[in-house]
Amino acid sequence: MGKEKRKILDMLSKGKISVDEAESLLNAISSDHKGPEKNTAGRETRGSSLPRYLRVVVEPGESSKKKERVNIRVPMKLIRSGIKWASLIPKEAREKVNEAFKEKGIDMDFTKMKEEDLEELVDNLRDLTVDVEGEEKVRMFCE
Amino acid sequence: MIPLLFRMKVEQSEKRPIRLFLPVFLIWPVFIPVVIGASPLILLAALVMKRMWHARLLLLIYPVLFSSLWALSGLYVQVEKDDKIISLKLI
Repeated sequence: MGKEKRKILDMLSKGKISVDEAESLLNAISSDHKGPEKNTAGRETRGSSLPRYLRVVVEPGESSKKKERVNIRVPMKLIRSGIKWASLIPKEAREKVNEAFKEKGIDMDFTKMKEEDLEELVDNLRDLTVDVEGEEKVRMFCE
Repeated sequence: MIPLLFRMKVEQSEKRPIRLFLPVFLIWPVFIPVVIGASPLILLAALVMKRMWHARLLLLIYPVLFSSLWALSGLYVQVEKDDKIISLKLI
C-alpha cells in the first residue's frame, strides 16, 4: 500500500476526515497514479484513438420547411494540410486578421501562432462536439 | 494515400441511380512529371525574387500542395434535397 493511501486511512481512523472525504482523496490518488496513456508514438492519448474524420451534418429542424440535408466528412489529414496553407498567408494579411479579431473582442496574435500550436489544436478536435438547433440542426463532431 | 477514384452518385426516387466513376489515378502520371519538371523553374524564380516572402511562398507551395493532394482521399460530401441525393466521394 502506498504512503499516501496509508496516510488517508490513518486520518480516517483518527476521525480527522469523513468517509466521503477519504473516498474522494483515494479516487484522486488512483487517477493521479494511472496518468495519461501513451500511444506507440509516445504521445499522450485519453484512452481513445485519434479521430480520422471531422463530420458536419446539417438537418432540417422540426419547425423548418426546408428538407435539405448535408453530410460532409472531412479527413483530419486534410484539415492539417489546410493549416499548412495558412502558413503561406502574408504577414500583412495576418495583421489584418489580428485587427479583425480585436474588433470582435478576441485578443489573439495570429502572427505568433506556430504550426505546433495548430497541430495541438487539431489533435484536441477529438473532444469537439457542436450542436446547434434552430431552423436547422447542425452537428459537428469527430469520428 | 493519394486519391485514385472520384465517385459521384445521384439518386432520385422512382429513377435508376446514376453512378459515375472518374479514374483520378490517370491524372497523376501526367500531373506529377509536369510538376517535377517545373520545379527548377520555381526554384530559379524563388532565387530571383526580391522580396523574401514571395520566395518563401514559392518554395513552400510544393510541399503544401502535395500534402493537400495526398490528404484528399476519404473526403465525402452528401447533399439531399427533396427526392434527390447527390454524393461525392474521393477514394
